[in-house]
Amino acid sequence: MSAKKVTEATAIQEDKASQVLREIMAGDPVRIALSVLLGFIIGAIFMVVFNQDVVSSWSQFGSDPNYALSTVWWTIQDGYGALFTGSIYNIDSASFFEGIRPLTETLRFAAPLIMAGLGVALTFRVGLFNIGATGQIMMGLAGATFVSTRLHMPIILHMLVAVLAAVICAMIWGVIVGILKARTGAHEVIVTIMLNYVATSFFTYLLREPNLLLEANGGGTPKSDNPDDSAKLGALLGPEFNLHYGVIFAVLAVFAYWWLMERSTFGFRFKMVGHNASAARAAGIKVENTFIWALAISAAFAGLAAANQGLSVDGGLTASIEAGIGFDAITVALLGGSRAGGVVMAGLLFGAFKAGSSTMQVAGVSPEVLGVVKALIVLFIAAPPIIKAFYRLPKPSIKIVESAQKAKAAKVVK
Amino acid sequence: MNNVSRKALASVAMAAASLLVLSGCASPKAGAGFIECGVSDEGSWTDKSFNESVMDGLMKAKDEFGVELKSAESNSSEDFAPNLDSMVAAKCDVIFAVGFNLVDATNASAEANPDKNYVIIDGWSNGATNLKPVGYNMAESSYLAGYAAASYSTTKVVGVYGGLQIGAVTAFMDGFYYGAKAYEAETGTPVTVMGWNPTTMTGDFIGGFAPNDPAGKTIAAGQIAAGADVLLPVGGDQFGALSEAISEAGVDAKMIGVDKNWSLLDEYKGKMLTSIEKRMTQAVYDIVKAAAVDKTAFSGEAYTGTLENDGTGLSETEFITGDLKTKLDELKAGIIDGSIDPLS
Amino acid sequence: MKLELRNITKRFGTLTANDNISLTLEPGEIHSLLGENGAGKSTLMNVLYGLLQPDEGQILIDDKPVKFNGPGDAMAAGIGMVHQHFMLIPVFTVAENVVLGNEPTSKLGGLDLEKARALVKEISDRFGFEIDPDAKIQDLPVGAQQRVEIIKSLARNAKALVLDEPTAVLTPQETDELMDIMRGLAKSGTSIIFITHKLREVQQVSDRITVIRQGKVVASPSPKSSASELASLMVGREVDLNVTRKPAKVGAETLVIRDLTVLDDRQHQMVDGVSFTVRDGEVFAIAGVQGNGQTELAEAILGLRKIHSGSIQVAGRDLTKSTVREVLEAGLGYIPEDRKKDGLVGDFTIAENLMLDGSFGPPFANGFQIDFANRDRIADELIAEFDIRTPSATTLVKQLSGGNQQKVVVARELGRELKVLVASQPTRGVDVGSVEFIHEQIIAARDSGKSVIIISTELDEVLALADRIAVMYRGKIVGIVDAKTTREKLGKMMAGIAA
Repeated sequence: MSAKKVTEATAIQEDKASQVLREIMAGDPVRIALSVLLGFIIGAIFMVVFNQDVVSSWSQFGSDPNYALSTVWWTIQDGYGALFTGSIYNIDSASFFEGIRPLTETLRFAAPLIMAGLGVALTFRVGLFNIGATGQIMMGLAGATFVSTRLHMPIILHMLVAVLAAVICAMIWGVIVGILKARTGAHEVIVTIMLNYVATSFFTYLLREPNLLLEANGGGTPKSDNPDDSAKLGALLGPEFNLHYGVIFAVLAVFAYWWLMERSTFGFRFKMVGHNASAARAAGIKVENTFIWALAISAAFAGLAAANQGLSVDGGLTASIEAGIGFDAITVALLGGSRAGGVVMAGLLFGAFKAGSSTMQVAGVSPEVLGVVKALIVLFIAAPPIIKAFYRLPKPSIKIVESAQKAKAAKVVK
Repeated sequence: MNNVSRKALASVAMAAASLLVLSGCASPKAGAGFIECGVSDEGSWTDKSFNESVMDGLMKAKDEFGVELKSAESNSSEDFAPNLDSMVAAKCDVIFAVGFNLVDATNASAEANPDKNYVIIDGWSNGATNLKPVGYNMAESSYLAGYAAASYSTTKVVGVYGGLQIGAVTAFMDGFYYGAKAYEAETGTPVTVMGWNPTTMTGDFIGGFAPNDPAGKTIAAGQIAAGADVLLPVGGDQFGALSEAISEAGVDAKMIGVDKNWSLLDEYKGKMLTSIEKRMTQAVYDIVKAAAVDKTAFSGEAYTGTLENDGTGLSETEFITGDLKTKLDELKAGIIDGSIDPLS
Repeated sequence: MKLELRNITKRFGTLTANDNISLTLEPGEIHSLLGENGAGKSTLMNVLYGLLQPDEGQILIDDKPVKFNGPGDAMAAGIGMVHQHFMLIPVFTVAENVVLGNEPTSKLGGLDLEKARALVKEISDRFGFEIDPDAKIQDLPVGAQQRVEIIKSLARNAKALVLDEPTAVLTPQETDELMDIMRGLAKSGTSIIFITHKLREVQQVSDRITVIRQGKVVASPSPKSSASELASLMVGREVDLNVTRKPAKVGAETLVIRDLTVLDDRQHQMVDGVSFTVRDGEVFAIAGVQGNGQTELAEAILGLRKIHSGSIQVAGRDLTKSTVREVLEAGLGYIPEDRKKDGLVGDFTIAENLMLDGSFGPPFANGFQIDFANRDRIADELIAEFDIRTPSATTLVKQLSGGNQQKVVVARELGRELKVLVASQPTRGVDVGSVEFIHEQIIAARDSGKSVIIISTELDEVLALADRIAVMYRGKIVGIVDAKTTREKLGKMMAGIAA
């Protein structure tokens, strides 16, 4: 009898964790927008406080306060101005065509973040805290690199096969997590962290072995050959722009995700399991199998991100081409509320950060500032539900919410 | 901009500068108006290794010549091309790219922007004449370090291990091995070099360049247990881990630093037999000076740091004195005049 | 302590949740606050507890106005509240929980657990609570956990206790024990506000009754009022608590269960060799105190829980090893005992909840795509047919009252072709009006020739609906008796004494 209570207690704990996840995702747009704004404001404070010009101007605040204040203003303007110039439109450029290049760079950086972000978002909606996108991208890179450097095929077909290989390799990695979770009850957080390490090391190993993926004249550095031109994602807007067909895959992925989650019966069951696994079970759904499917499809999105990275390089690629996308994808999914539209917006924001990072550095802003802004945005979005969960142990806020809801229901009855 | 007009501009500027100096006014520094730029390899400018050495050179040039410095760090290989693009957009006069990871991106950028000047540290040019490769013949100074190690060692066992088995690393290990064996040939005292055999190309490697990798510590502990009392880790900053391995073994073993003079750091005082310096700071400074101050035409000619041009060499320490110092100077002269081959 | 709420009005936007409510609590009095879900009871109590500020009106203690800015103020003034959902930490001991947030400290500033233990023991002994200060909360039965909540309030010198739906989670025995405790407390001078919608309890224990409907006090009936008088006041119209039904017209034996043995997660035998049959056109009730295997039996029938031995047949088809989906498709409908946990997805809309088990094919799915037109049409039909009070089919289920939530479950299960209906605690936590409606629906299902199983711990419900009654005790069926069996005899059977 008491043993049963213990299991009930742990069930309640788990329920709490997934409830927090759900609340984070249910964040309303206003709160998200405010979090982004607040992140930028605090980022500005960082820029100012760590800028030497400002520091020295403030030491003369007494004699020249206007100068001190104007250095603050100019530092912020220069910093975020550089972000704009680097990610949206370069006002200094000769033509409009040249001027929008930064925007195309934002799109290029956003595409893999969106694809991987959709993958993570999908598992979030099934109630899984999947942080395995990094490993899935690594496996996808292995598949894409093998097909693009070791096999030789006609143009377009080669590219499609390479993309497919990336997707399948990533899916295998996702399914492993699903099976471990479904069959042994292993927690997906731990499994995915470990599999991330395994995949990263495995891919590096492949890149180091001459018979596997190491470049033909390699000096021992773990680096692949340049992918065949037939396998590369071609330039979308001509050679002046880096933007390539990866962004088309991203658009298709967004529509696929939207259909899957909002229109299809799979998505309906995914969401059902995510919101209330026990009700889903009573409705005849095999919850464990749903986990496996969700992780597989999620990994397929990560595989697309991998293809985007692996088939767009000039020169060979190293494991660092993953570029933190797998990790950023978690943030993108959280920020986007795990909805298709939200993930697109969040991916664009983070893509802009990546695109604007170098111009900001050139303008003298340390690259860590953007990292701080990113982290703060996530913190502001994720923290309230977490903090609420801590303080929920004892009383109030819910009670109020409940009664407000009851009141609403009462009104309805009238 | 072609070279003629550049030269013309330079002479005008020089004339103006000398006029200012003559008139005794507060003159702007010699390199004012020149923009030097740097793009890092993966990692920050304060990595106690490649990136930092280059940044030191750029900072030194900035302070002395008054040139403007723009820099961008790369977090991953994905950042190389955009960072170089930003430098082009920022109208840099010379762009330094650090490390062989940037070779492809830098060559591509140099070919696309023939009017810009590039320097690639530890890399090569695929033919662009506006790209100057900077390389080092590290076997030369490593040879001296190998001799010094064998001479200093009481057990006559010395150890070496690398980050990854790549040319940039094994060049050190080759030179170190042959230097130690030169001591054996000269004195008749057998010397054991652990961790690298240049004939079979086998040895001990950590598997990466992460600072103070525990795997490196394990390798070092093994070599110490087998008697090694001078150790050379060729893999960036592994000296914290190596110090631990030495103190845990309770032996009085010495380390040999890599890339820069490690004995200048307080925590390694008295623990460094010497360091095999790759004087990138100096090379960077010299290149900026030539372009910004001396106004010599930029060329794609490779710069190779050797013992002869002091691009590489051993650090002076309290252990390199007397007969050993004399002997090392002799060997250095031999390598410079070609009578000694550091790879045999 | 005399506590008075005077002319309290609380609005949420355009909705007036409390409309000029006045209520007086004399020392040593048990004052029942009776009303349906959503009538405004909880809002009123949150005002009293300082969680909400009233828009108008005031709170008086011993005729002096007071203002509570939070629960801390209310507690300091001597008001204690026992919530429906306990605010206890499962892994802590009773003593630790009781002093949590108000810890006695030793001279060195550490937690003085000895003092805490003594305090618990003293209160427990004074009121006959029989609580071990060192027991962990998670090891205690629900009734005992509730007593810990009461001790917590008393330890902070509460003179007035608010018990919010305290019996919702209790078995009949535990309910009786709580009634005794309440009387004991009242006798010692502690006054109690008792919030409930269970009429029998109100009649049993109250000194005074206030009925609230739609935010207003509608009556203060005498404690001697009959159940149907109280119900009518609560609902606002005549309520017939007796379910009228025709004699059963029984048909074939559709559900046949033979020697069924089921283990729980810890491999304890929870259902022990149970056999029975249910015929078309009858209601077969399984009575018993909570925790005697009914839950596991229901889960086993649905295929949620593995069957250790024995067999289950529906209309001649063996479903012993079938998956939940196969069982559902074989024509079994299931109303789970905990609708929030097993029956509904709170964050889904009503329309989505009505297709919860229908995503595999027509009419709700068209290939891999949801047939939204069909879904919405069916939802509107079921909302009308089952009287689900909601502005639209797109309202989230969590925003509905308990009764309307349960109607969603009932509508979904009865909205498709069924052979057998298994309804577990079908009216738990449901308001009186909805209880009446759900009972009618169950009888209608029986009259249309379905085999119906009702699993209920409430004898009233069993007696109102059943044609035959099986009583479960410790995993076994003590006996199967007809519907005319007396309450006393059934009570004995529930305690394990065979008929």
